Amino acid sequence: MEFYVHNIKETNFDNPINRKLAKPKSKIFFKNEYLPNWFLEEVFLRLPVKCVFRYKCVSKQWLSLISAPSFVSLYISRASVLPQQAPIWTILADTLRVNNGVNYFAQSYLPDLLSDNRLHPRFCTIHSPCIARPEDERYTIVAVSEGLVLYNRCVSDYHIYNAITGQCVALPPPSMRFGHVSNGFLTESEGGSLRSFKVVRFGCQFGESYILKFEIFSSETGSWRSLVVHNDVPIEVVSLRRPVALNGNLHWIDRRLGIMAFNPSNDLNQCRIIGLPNDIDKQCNDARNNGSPTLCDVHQDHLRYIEVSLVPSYPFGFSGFSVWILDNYDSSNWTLQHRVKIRDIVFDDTLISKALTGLIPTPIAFHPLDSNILYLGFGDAVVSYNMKTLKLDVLAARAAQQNLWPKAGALPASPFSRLCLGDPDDVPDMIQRLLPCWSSAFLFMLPAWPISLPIDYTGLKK
Amino acid sequence: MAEASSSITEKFFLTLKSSDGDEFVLEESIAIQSITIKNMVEDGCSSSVIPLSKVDTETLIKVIEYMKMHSSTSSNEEEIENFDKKFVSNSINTILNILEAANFLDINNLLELCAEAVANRIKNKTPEAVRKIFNITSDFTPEEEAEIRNETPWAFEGNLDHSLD
Repeated sequence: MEFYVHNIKETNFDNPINRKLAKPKSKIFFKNEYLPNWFLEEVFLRLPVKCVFRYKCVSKQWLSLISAPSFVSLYISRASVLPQQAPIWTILADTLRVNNGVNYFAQSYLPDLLSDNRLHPRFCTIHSPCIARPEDERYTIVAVSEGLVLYNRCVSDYHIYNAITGQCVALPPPSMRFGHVSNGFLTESEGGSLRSFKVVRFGCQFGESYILKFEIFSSETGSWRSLVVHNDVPIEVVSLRRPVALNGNLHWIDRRLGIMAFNPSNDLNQCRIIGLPNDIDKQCNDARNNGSPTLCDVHQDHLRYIEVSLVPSYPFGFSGFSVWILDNYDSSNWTLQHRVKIRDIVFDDTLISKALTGLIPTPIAFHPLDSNILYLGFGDAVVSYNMKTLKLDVLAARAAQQNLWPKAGALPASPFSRLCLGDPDDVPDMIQRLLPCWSSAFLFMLPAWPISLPIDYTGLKK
Repeated sequence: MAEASSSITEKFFLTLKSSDGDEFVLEESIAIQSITIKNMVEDGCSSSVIPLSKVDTETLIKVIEYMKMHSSTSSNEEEIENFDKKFVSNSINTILNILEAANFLDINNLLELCAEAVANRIKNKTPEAVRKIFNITSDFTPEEEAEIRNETPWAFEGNLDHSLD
């Protein structure tokens, strides 16, 4: 392969490379007005979202480019394909209670957050919005959606917290009193802004009931409304499990019938029942187990049903895992995606000893990008199960095992301990560590672009 | 006939002319990594010299180096990776010129490589440092700038890099 260099200026033939380097650089193309928009967009698309927001104040050109809805849409769509913009996610569970009653979130699993400096440490620790916290008041997360966290305190106090921006809005208090409430959270966003959201309170009853009581908050009206559904078939949901959202519906597991789908947007006086496969282990959803070994989850826009079979398999407390996928949302046809017997599962040493004590894992969620990986809570640890290799691995064990509370400013020894670190000053001396409640743990994924909460509902509070 | 002509790989050459008037002769199979040049070849405009009025000689030399490395069958992945690493360590001015040329010549891989390099160069910086790197003068009043900062305080938290490197 040849590489010829000619100089067409006949007068003196020399090597243009040398000539060029000897000459002072004459071309300045990036003066203020010469940074073309296409170039800036190409660069912005490759920057972390925090940098993009910060650089709004570089110049008017940058501000208008970054604020343009077309750019936001492009950024969101490109974020899914650019490797450096891989989604940031974790599993959230209430695992710590501080002596004054305020709950801190512990994140059990942080794949990228720790090694990546593109985000502020705030993202690594999501703690309760500190709204003047009197004694004995405790916040719990009751639902998450699109990077927003729904908090609840003392039954009637609801807050929505944006984990990226730190923005927090209060909802007006609901009026209905239920013995036990199961909360659902539905959001609808477009191009980085929240179009609407709904918070659904469902009064769980003990024993079967034809009468289902809901209270629904809609962002469009800014108020709660109550709804009573007289269902054709009696319902009793597994109250331990939180509902999952898909297609504008919320889905609870019923003890006997399958999955109950409820649409808070229409006033159909009926809940749809999606029957479960025939060969499930029915005792998982009975009053004693209350759905702890089962999970109804949404993954890649399909409903999935995951079961840890409780049929005894001596000396273990469970006999294997099964995963079904609902073929078509409008059908009740489930396909068995995976089934494994306990003797075929590859345990590591620490897990086999746990399993031999009769401990039963609780399914939490799928890996957001890999449908072969399922996360489960197992005693005090989060474990991953790989459906291809049949391996069960420990991902994060509790900080409690180290018997050390990380000092302010010190680098945490394990990802798990990092989680509990809010502002170090906020962490009181006395901390009561509880076993994580895996049946109410969440997969929490940050959106590529923060969803803004447009309205402050405290204004509506009386 | 078709078999005979494909077994003897016939090399075609193109002449690219920079904005400074320098001409570079390059194998067609290498040059057509540029979609702009490829379209010209397909339209039959390649018999004469291809004028690249928006690309100066220094930049064109870099672009040709890149295209040669990325088309050569002899370079392995590791070689290409090392080349790319060294390539993006050019000064930001050079990278910006190459980026502009890559856009004009429509060489997507090169454009992505350079955009990535520029993004890495300004990542985690303060707005002030970014302005200096790009030689931008702020056209905001201090009040306007403060207002933008107050809208998204979270974007200004953490350890920001003040350096211009």
